[in-house]
Amino acid sequence: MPIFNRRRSALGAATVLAVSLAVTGCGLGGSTASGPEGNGAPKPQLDCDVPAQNLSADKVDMSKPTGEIRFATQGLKKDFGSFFDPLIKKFEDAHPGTKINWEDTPSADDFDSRMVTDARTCVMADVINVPSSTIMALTQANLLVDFDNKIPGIGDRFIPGIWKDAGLGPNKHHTALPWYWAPSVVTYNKDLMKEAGLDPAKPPATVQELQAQSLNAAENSGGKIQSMWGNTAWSFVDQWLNSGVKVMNDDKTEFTFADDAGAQEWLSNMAKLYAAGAIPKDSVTGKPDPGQAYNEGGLIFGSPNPSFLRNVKKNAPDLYPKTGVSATLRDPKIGANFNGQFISVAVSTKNLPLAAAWADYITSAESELGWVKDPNVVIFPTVTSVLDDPFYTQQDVNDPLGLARSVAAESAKSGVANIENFIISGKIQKVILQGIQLGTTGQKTPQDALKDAQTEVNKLFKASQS
Amino acid sequence: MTRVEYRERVRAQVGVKVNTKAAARARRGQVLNGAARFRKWWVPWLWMALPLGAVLAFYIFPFGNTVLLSLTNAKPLGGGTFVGLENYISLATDQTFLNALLNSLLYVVCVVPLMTFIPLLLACLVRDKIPGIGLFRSLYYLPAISSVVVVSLSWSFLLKDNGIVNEALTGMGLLKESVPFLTDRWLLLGSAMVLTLWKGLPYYMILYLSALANVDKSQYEAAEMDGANAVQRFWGVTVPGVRIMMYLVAVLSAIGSMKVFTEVYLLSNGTGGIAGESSTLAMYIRDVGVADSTYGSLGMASAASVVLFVLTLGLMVASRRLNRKVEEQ
Repeated sequence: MPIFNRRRSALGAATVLAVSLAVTGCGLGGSTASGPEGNGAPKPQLDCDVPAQNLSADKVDMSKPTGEIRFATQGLKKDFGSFFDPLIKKFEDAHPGTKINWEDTPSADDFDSRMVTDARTCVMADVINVPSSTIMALTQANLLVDFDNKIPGIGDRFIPGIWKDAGLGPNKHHTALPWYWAPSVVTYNKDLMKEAGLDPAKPPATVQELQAQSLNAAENSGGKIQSMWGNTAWSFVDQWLNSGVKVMNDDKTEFTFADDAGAQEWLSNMAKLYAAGAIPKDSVTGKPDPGQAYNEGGLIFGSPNPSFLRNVKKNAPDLYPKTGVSATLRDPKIGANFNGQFISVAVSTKNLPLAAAWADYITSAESELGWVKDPNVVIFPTVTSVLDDPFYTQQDVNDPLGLARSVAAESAKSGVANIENFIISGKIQKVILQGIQLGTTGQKTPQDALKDAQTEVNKLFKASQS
Repeated sequence: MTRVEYRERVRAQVGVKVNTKAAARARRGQVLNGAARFRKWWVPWLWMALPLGAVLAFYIFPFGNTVLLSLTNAKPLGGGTFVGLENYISLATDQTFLNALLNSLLYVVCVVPLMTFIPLLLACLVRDKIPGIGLFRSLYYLPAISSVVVVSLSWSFLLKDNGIVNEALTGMGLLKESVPFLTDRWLLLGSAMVLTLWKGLPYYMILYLSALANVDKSQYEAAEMDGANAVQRFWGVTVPGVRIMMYLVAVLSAIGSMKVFTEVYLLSNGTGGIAGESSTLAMYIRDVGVADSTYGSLGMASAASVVLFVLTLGLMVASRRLNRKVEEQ
């Protein structure tokens, strides 16, 4: 064969190889995972090798786990290594022949990307710490183990309202175990309240009161004292649900917030607050955390996370004793909104007994109580019995952090896992936030801003379901 | 036997031997001696196998996969079915994409000319060897070696409503209200452009310094003798002398501007400004495809990536043609 022809053949072969590689690449392969159907879990959407027992409806035997698994978490190693390393050791000692390989990704963004990449390439860790924003995607792709099949009855230990609504799998089965969270509280600068003509003894009890007090503060101070933060990424779902806004219809198939008078009033008030100077103008596109502005003495109301008090104590010690804490802003008939962290087991795990045993162990009352008592953390358990521990009932309520722990633990008992927390993530959250930005800054009327956002998110949600 | 005689004898023996075999093999079409042994059609491919494999795996395959994904409805956590040009049609009607496209093109239009000329002026300033010029050159180069993340955060601190710039402007009574550098659509883009320029100027200044060193000094002397002033010498001698480097700088900064991400992302805390109006193409691609495991669309993000590639390629081709025309003139 002449060299030219041979070269052409080689080039042709290389091209065919490249195209073949491309065609068989990620995203284009069909689902060929093996596994039983019927009562068991559906096959994963991705082309991964899944042991048949992981998909069956049979209970897993966790009595004698052996071997190794990978445990992936998000941003825990740096601060809580001193808690988790002994915990892992204790588990391994109790189950000789087991090894838990702990992998931690510091940043939340990196963790999400890594989780997606791992899932696409079928190398997910066996046990994963999943935020509520990602559970929906992993569950819809059938990538998580069904706990109701594998560990029946495990849900009995959790706060009933949270467990009841956290079933996102087929037949409302659970693919994630609630792990830890932080019910909202109200934190406020008592001195600044006084200066703005507000009564620190009467902090706001509802979202409407929060907005009214913020407007008063701005008007009383001629726009010099600011109260609220403009980026509502961390708060709008909480505030809407806690004030009874009907965010979605009863079937949870469509967003309805734009038609709700409560949401319209909320955004109209935000626009008034922005115009009156109660909100720092550039905070509308600022970081979601108002903590720094509060610590600098520039805001009346701080972050609603009880853990924020630890931040104030450390970074603004002068402000700490002046910080007041009260119960979260919600209608007493509405349960505290749970938007926390979960533990899941990857359906592709090759060691289900050990993965299930470890997931069971770290979400047990013993492990959760040990962790919430860690001095480096202000988190709240998902196991009901832990909330009655003296650690919460005997807190020093004269100390802002102790008061926050006590108030939030009381609130936690009424916790509910609203499905909106799972659905409002990624692009849907972004579109709603953009609508809020436009309404707040007056670039659109609140009604139009909400309506346009609702139309867009309904389109996105519908597309995700198809 | 002398050494010369011995050498001649060996040469004669070897030569005869080798030549005879070579001739025989050549007659049979089997030339295998010496370097000829490696003159096979597959030998170059063998040497290239490793780099070619790397190029295929890390350039061709991802690129081909991106093009293929752009023709599917693939999601971050799911397979995809072929949808033809649907993603491209969706992009054409997606206001967010069109907005991002406009912002990226605007970035190119504003940044490239400035990035091409200002470093040249700077290079002219620091070209002459005067006492302490090394220090000046080092100071000018500092922004180029600073982390873009740290620099962006510092600029964000300077430009926020109660930042140093606004405090200074309002404090001196020049303005009554703060300038919304980080929230107004165009001001945010402008701030990001200034940051890109500030960070990129020193790097291109160094490139120009090397090009200026090759410009013949006698041309300046001749121009001076002809009575050309500094501006005339700049346009008449310096610019033609570094034109190839200007072309390179323009192409590099155009590519960089088309895919600008970090500056706008960090100055706007990831929001892209109010309602994301200042987002760029790279931010759009990230938002649509990578950052959202639930509602993301790899198909749309891949289609946007292909558009970005085509636009970048188009810019390069256009600048090449422009350069050729100038050469002809």
